[in-house]
Formats: sequence, C-alpha cells, structure tokens
Amino acid sequence: MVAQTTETAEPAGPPTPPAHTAATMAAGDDVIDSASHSGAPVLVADVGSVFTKVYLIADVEGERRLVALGRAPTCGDDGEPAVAAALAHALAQVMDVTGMAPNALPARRLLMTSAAGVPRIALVAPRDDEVRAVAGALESLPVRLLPPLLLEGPDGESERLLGLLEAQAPDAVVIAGGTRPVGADAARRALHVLAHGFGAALPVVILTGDEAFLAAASAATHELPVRPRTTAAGPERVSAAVQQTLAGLVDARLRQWLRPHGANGDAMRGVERPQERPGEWLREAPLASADGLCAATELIAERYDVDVLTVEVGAAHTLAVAARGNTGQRRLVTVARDDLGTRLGRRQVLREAGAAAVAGWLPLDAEVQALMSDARRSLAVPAALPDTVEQLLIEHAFARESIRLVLRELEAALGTAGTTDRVLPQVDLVIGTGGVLASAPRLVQAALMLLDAAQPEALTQLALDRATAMALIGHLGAHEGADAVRAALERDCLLNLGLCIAPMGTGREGEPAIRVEVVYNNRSPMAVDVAYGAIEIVPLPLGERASLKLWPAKEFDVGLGKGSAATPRAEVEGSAVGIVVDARGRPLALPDAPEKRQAKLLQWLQAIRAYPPLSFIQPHPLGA
Amino acid sequence: MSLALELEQTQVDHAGADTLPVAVLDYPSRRPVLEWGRLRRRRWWGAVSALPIELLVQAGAQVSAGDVLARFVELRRATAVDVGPALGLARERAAACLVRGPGEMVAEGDVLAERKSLGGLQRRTLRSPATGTLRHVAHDLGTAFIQPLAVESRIAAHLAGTVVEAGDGGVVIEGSAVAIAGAAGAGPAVSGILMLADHPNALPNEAAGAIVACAFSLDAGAIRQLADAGAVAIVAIGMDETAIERLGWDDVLWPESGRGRTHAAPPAPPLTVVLLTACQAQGAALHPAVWEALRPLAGRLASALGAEPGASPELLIPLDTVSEDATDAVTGHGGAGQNGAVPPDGSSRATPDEAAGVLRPGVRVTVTSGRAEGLSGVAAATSAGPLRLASEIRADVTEVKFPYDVRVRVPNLHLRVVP
Repeated sequence: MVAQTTETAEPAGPPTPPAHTAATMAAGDDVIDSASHSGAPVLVADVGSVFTKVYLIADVEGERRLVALGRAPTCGDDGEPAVAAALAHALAQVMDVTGMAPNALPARRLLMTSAAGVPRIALVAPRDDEVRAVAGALESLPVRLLPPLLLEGPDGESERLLGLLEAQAPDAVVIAGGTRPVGADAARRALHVLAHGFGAALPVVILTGDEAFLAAASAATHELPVRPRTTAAGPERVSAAVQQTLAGLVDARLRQWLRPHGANGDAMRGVERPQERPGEWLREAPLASADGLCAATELIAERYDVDVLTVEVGAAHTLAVAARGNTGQRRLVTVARDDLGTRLGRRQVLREAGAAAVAGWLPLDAEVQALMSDARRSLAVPAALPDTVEQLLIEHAFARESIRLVLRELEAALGTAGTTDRVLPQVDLVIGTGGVLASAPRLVQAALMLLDAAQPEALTQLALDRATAMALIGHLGAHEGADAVRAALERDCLLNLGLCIAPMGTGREGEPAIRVEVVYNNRSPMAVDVAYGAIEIVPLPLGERASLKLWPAKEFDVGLGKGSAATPRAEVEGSAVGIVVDARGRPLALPDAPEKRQAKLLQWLQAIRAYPPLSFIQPHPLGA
Repeated sequence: MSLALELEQTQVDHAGADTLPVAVLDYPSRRPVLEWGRLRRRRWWGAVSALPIELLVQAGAQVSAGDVLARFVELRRATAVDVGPALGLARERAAACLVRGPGEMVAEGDVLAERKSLGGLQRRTLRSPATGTLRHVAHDLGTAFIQPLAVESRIAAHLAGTVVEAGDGGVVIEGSAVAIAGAAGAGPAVSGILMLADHPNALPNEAAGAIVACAFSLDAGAIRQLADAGAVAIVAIGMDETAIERLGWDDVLWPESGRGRTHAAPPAPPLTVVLLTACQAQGAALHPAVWEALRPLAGRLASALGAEPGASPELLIPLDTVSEDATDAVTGHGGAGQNGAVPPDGSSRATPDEAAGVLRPGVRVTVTSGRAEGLSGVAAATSAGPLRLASEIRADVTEVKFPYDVRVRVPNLHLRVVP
C-alpha cells in the first residue's frame, strides 16, 4: 500500500543536501575571495581530554585546505597531562605525512582546547524569571549552566547558598540582580555572602542587571575585605562578559599545561622532539574548541541557508548546537555537558540515562555491573581503543545515550519540550563530530548513531566531520571570513553521509511504510519498498546524482501529510553511505524483552551491514 | 616485524581510501610499571597553586624522603550564620545580639548570639554550628562568618635525593628508588614500613603505621582487616567490584572530573590505597617481576602516593640506604640499576634513562585494557604502521607473547612496560 495522492512539492527536508563533499562543490557557485588565497599556512592544535591533534592548513592550488593531521594522547600512560609532549608528538606526525623539515613549519600557530572545555556557570538570581532571562542571554554559548540558585527561596539562606555553590564547583558565577529593588537587594547580599564565604577562592563573578544594581553592587565590592574578581555587564552584554571571562580561563589552563616541568609528569621517553618550544603555541591567545564548533555551525547554516544541528561527542563532553531560522535572524542555541562522553563521561551517562538505556542499544547481554566496570576502565585508560566488535558496540551505545541526554536539554532550551514526541528539533542538516563518530570504522555506524540518538523525521541530511576539524574551521572562518575556509570545510572536513528519509507515523510491523523510487542519472531507476520496523540503504555513491519520488503509506508522513507523496525538487547528491530509509518509526521503539530487542537490533545492524559479524555469531578466536 | 604483521600491514595500506591519513598513535610519555635506579619525581601543589606557597628547599639541596619541600595553608570556605532569621529579627538588628566579636575563637555549640525579650524573661540563643574564628560580621546582612581553623598542608619529598628544580612549577627531586606505578589511587601520600602479603591468609594482624603490599585483589574483608591492623596504606593488584560498591569507593578512586576545579579536598578513604590495575579483570595477576622486586625490600621505609596533587599513584621505596643485596635482587645484576649505577649514597649525577618506558620487542608488558586485560607477556614484534583490529579500528599494535606461546596483537595504547 502506497500513497493515494501525488504532489510535486518540497518536503520538510532540504531539497539539495548542503553538506557536500568535494564532488558536490567542485563546480563552485560562489567566487572565492581572493584575499583568502593569500592566507599564510597555519598549524592549529586542539588539546582534547584524551587526544591532542595538530592540523596543518595551507594553500593547495589556490585554495586553503586541511593538508595533514597528527594526533597523540594528551596524557602519558600514567594519566598525567603531557601536553607539550603530545603537541610535539602530533606535530612530528604532521611532518612525517608532509615531509616538512622543522624549519619549514608555518610560523603561525593557533592553540585550541576542548579538554575541560565546557565551562561550568553557576546562576544566582532572585527568581526563576530572572534566571530564564540570563539563561536566554547565554543560550548561544557552549557553557554548562548549572541548576540555578534562587535567592527568594530556600537557596537564599547564606550557608545553604555557600554549600550549594561549593558542590557545583563552577568556573564562574553569574549573579543577576533583576529589575526589582527587592531582587537587587537579595543579589547584592548574595555577592557579600559569597565574597565573605569563599574569600580568595571565589570564582570570577559576573554581575548583571539594571544600571542601579550594577552601580550598587560594584560599589559594594570595594567594602569587602577580599575584593572578588567581578565583571559588571548589562543584560545585553552578559554573554560577551561570560565569553571574555572564559577566554581567560582557557588561556590560564593551557599556560599551566605548557609550563615546562622537566619531571616525570611530562617526560618524553623515546619520543623524537621536532620542536620543543611549547611557548610558540601561545603567541596567539588560545581558543576554546567549543566556540569554534558553534561558529562553524552558524557559518554552515548561513552559507547554505539551512537549519543545522551539530552534535559533538567527545571523551569527556557532549555538545549540541542548533542554528535555526532565516538568514540574519538565525537563533543559535547550544547545550553543553562537561560530564557526558564516551570515555571519561561514561559513568555519568550510566547514572543519568541508566544502565538499561545503554544496554538497550546492544544486541548482546550486558550486565549493569559490567557496564559500570567498563566505565571505570575508561576512566583509568581513557586512550584505550575498542579492540573487539562488542567493545565497539558498547562505545557506540554510550555515544547514543550521551547525545540523547544533551538533545533532551536542547529541546528544553529551545522551548519545544513536551510539544511533540520528537527527540530532535526539526532541522535540515545533522552534523556529527567528535572522536567516537569521526573514528567509526564504518561510516554507516556514524550515521546510525546519529539516527538512533537524534531520530530525525521526514527528510534530513546527515554529515560527518571526519577530520574533527569543524572547531578550527569555525575559528578560522570567524577571523578570515567564510570564503577563506570554504574549500577546507567542504572537501576536507564535512563528509556527506547521506539523506535520511524517515517517515513519521506508526504501523504494523512488516507492512509497507514507504516506497522510494530512485531515478539515477546514469543507470536504470529502482524502487524500494521498506516495511515498517525496517531500515534500508539505497545506494547512491559519491559523485552520482538521482531524483527521488517518495510514496508513503497512508499512515505515514514525509512532510506533506499522511499518505501524501513527495518529490523533492532538487536532485539528491551521492554520499558516503547512500540514501537511508529509516522506517523504524518515530519515536523509535524497541521491544522490552531483551531477546526480542537484541534480535531486532541484530536485524537492523545486519540489514545495513553496520558492524562486522559478532563473535557469538561467527567465532572470532583470540589472537586471530 | 613478523610475517603475519607484515601481511596485515600490506592489507591495511591498500585498504579503502575513505579514511584519513594514518597517524602513529602512542602515548607521548610512558611510565614503566616498575622503575628502579635514578628517578625523577616532581612534587607539585596542583590546584592550590593560587595560594601563597612557602617553598622550603632550593635547587641543589639534599633531601630525605620525609623532608617537607613546601607548605601552604589550605583554603576552606567560611560558615555563614544568618543571625537575624535564627533569632526572629530583622537582618539589620541582628548584629546587635551577637555575644562574640570579630576575631574571637568560637567552638561548635558556643552561644554566638542571644535575644532577650519581655525584660529578659524570654531569651533565644543561637549557637555556633562550627569551630573557628568569628572572622566577620556583616551588619547590614545580619550574617556572621566563622572561618574554620587553618590547616597547614605539607608537600613531602617521598624520594630521597637532590632537588634539581624548585619554583612555581613545583619541586623536582632526583634520587635512587624503586617505583611501582599504580593505575588508580586514593588518599594522601603517606610513609611507613613496607610489609608484604602474597596471600589473603598472610595479611598481618599488626601493621601499625605500615604500608602493606598485597599480591592479590582486595575484597572488603581484607581492607577492613588491614585498617583494623593499623596500616596507613594498601598497595594491591586491584579491588573487586563488590568491595568498590560496598565501600562506596567508586567516587573515591575515580573522582568526578569537575572536582579538580575547586579547592575542596578530593574524597579520601580511611587509608591510602594504590591499585596496580584499574579493574579486577578475569585472570589479572601481578607481574612476577614486580613482586620479585618488592620481596627483598620488605621492612624498609616506603611511601604510598594515592591521590597526591600533581603526582601519579605509586609505591616508592627509596634506595639510598638499601644494601647491595637488596639492590641486586631488584636489578638482577650487581647493584647496577635500571637507570644506571646506584651508589648507596645516591650521589650519582647520572640522569634518568628516558628510554626506560619505550615499547620495543623484548620488553615485558602488561595489558591494561581490552580482551587481554590483566595479562602479562613479552613484546614480540611491533607493527610499523596501523593494523586493523577485530573491531576494524586501525591502531599501532604489538604482538605480545603470553605463556604457552599464545600470541595476541594488542594496541600499543593498551600496554604498559615492565622493564
């Protein structure tokens, strides 16, 4: 059974996939700014919690391209940061790949960090509405907003306020005075309590409110015995003030790490030292990788005029950035968590999502105890690699749950929580980045993680930041202009994973959900019927194009209403994975019974050949 | 490189072109499980470095293991007492009811403020919730702040030898010692006489002030027995899952990553713990070389570093007073240490051998993660480039030869060297 009506219309998804690969954009429809060609080569390092990466950006045939990438664990095998050595190690790899001599290395260097890179911001305000105003002002920043402390409630009691703030361990505290005299008085009192309570250990305080409050609070700080480090900013400037404060923290952290130690903590046993002057990396102010990721998301949204969601899953952090709206009026909303991730963040995933949720993505038995033990092992040996398919599946399960947890918060931040059943706000393009996604051995694994966690509906383009270079592209783009980084973004950074067609609705397992007709440019057309509960991939290799006709069954909707057929106006570009037809239903529901659930998962994984055969299906002897 | 590795290497080199340029992946620095000879250790004050630190040594000074290198006063937050609400008064009137003044010492339970009404017939008192100094009274807030008593923290050397660096970045000491690297640790650095137990039945009943090294995994019973016996630290191969859960030591051994941001002390167990493996993997065992190295050192003064700022967990046994036979037993060759000669007085100027932790064919290794976790063997061959693992992830690997000639390819990132 397919659709009863046929229309030629544009469904919710993008008619032309914007996350293009080299083949897509080779012709180029924009004139590249000639100034970008003259950009000097630059080495960019990203110090992560687990891996440090060094990228070489240089001109290739007149375009700025990502030429080489080297990476090394950030810490030694003793778990202590060895950042200078890691930078040298990664740089040595770049030199190996490019054949560059040390004296030929670019002089310009940029240093970024994503290690401890999600700053924790405490919010202290008289009432909830004042917290919401501040949270709204900070929504575009990649910071973790800690649960607010409301002064006109129990948290206003001095000792409780100090205790809660101590437990939150923030990097900065925003005290909002609001606009009411009573509220301003409570906020000013809170500043006094924090200054007297914490003394010199008080983190940076950012005061925000109306002019009267700022003037009174700033004047009051002069009376305090230990003058806290405060910044006063009106509501419109609070975001800039937080950003500026955090830039200082990033700078201090990296300088601390790059301090010469000369002892066991930063030893370089057996490592060639191509350059041993870590200070060279600090000639320009260090940057937060997360800021670059936000900038890149905005840049992509603006450039292609699409709604974008970027999801980054790191070892110790998970981040979601949504850029939605029209050109010039785009709303950027970011949710960042410093405690969720695939290595150092596993324990928090288990605590928050529950072991059952993680195990729910595994087509094998996993005891709660084993998952907890695995999470501890990840803390102890964060640079360890999944060496079996089973371990890879576990890592990917943690990634799915990390993404789901931040998307839930994103939904709340966007104000769409509870309005629909969907996990993901409707976007045209979903980009995945971060170690676990970028280093997935099969690209379809990255696509599946995004699909399972975000559950996009109707038509959504999927892309992967295979080089984990979005952050640096964002920073370079912000400084040198979008055109300067276009080639690097499209050819070296983003990989078009494919178009996902996910009909909305529910049906009976095994009955047709959608028919997809693919008319290729250079071969015979084909039609695929996908049953409800199934996922299939229609091949459309990179470099090819095809037009689509979608015939959803009467209970299903691909953007034009139930049962309404759709024909995307533009041709679909070939991609690394192909066209993914995900008829598993939205929201994705898995059977409760473990045996049935595991069988279902296996069925999906095998249908799209997502993983190598599991050892219990095909014996895989140790050491073979 | 073995033929098998070479063949697989060729396959990988010709594998799909959809992947990024290959990068050699290994730790920037490796720390052997067991080190001996001239070692360098940095003592640092970590997150508290923003506080005034009193440095007590200079470069060139000779220090013994127990010497204090630096000290500082730990910063703890004050306790706030809202006097007004507690006495049912407006905030601005509360300060007048205080019976103690700024600068005075108060003990927990002391009367801090008193409100009399009805001509003194009715009185309400407010007692101090903490012991410390009444540091400040904010009259407009009606709040008193009690500063807890200052606690002086000391950074001890734990390694006897020469101070080679002393400054803001910490103190670096070079000296002769045996070091056993831990994979996890908790509790402060402590010193004590080293005692050994190679079996749960051999646990000492009396271990006052001792560091007890166990060649087996700990359970809750063993920990309780050692705590009761008065041990100051335990060094063990691992700890079983039930014990971790039962004692609630999950956060103690692996604290939250965000905790380092504050000056709050990390959670500490009642005695310092150093675990040589992170988890109790099936078949995990202490490498025989480690136990053999420890055996002749029983009865000597040792230091156990659990969760010391800026230091990795380890057991450190200074060698400067060790007799020749003990050194022989550790090194296996007439007093020559792993890192060069070890004169009994520790006066050698030899610098530590930076190649000690290098992963190369012939070295003994233990596996820290993955399917062979906990096993020990000998590195037979290392790949010249990345190979594809069973998970299809590509990584530099080492072929490790285990007992009974079992050979397994293990990612380099999963290996620790046992010299």
